[in-house]
Amino acid sequence: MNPKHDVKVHLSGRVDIEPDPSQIFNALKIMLSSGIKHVTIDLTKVEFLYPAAVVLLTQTVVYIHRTRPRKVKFSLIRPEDPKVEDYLSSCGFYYYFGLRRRAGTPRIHPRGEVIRLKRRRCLTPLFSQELVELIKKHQDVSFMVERDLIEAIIELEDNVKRHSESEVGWFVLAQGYPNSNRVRMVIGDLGIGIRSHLSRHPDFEYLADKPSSNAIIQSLQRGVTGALHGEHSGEGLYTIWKFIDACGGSMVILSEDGCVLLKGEDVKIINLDFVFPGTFVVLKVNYASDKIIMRGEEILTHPLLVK
Amino acid sequence: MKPQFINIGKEYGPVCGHRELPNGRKDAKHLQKVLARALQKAEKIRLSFKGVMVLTPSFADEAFGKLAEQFGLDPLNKLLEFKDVSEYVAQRINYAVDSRLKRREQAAKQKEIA
Repeated sequence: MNPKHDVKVHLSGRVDIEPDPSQIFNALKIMLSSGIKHVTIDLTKVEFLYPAAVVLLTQTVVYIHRTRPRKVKFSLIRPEDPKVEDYLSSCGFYYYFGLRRRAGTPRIHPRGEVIRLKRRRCLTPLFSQELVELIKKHQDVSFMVERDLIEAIIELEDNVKRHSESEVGWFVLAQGYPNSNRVRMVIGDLGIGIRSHLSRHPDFEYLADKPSSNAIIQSLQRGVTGALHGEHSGEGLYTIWKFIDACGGSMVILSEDGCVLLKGEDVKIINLDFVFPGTFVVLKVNYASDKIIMRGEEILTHPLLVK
Repeated sequence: MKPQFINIGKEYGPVCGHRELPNGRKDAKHLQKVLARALQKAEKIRLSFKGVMVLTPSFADEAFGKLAEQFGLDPLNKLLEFKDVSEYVAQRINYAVDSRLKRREQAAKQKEIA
């Protein structure tokens, strides 16, 4: 067997996209390299595979299955830790590898703390409702946090549906952490990417030759949209980031060869040496009830329609 | 003539989120069409936002922003009556209308220059 055709991806410890995404990015780079026929993903030493890593691996597997003319075979070596085994089977990760829960694995993760990995094609308020229910099981959240959370998810899904042009829909996964009043949600698509979309607009044509991270930063500004005929307002990602920032959370956006990690004033930009197929967003929300969501004053130049 | 009455919370649900929804469900585009039809006939419309929990910027832009861009602010002020509007909903609608009007002015200026 040609060793170049048969690769092994080792993951260990806690695998996540932040603070250090190098492990998961290396794995994706190996999986996406050309000429490969068999990929073995070794999770034996994994202590925890965070939702971001779960979706990134799944998305990449689905992408490779769809685009490679000759079938690439994937094998998964299950984790030794029963906690990880339990989590991966409860969140729906094994489904994409044709595996089932290992017989006799104890149920460790309480049900209702995870919204299973799903591929969605249709816009419905279902995901946001599920997420609010998940949070409310453990703590009362303020009306404003609930409202803004629903708004953020709807905007994000709406953006994915309208802009990504993904033929296979998009992936969603959410995980609640009731002890720290946090929730992580991940949305990923296999679409054209933020740079390709934005650079269609004459104002942002210059982005086509720049790293994707420039386009990601640009897309976070208010009123920025790639829509040519004023169909959209460009409020989506801006509104989401405002909400995440106000509740002390963080956001990661990965698109094509750029990745931007945002937390408060800190902005970490990573330019990748491979191209990720599509766009992927992770939101970490702190829904503690004592947090107050502040909205910036809008500067309006026309008389008010609604007084 | 009695103005037409639309209860947004009941007809479009407490979460007014999406510009377009599949399977003919009522979305922002639907509301925009209803309002535009009434404005064209110079009919008055009363809109109640009772029970509306979420009104996303996208929904506000599609339903009200684009309407303002098409008709201008005056007909909207004259013919639309807003009831049970929270500060949040008012902020969303006013911002959407304002940014579309700015865009309209910009386009008019560019046309003049050209």
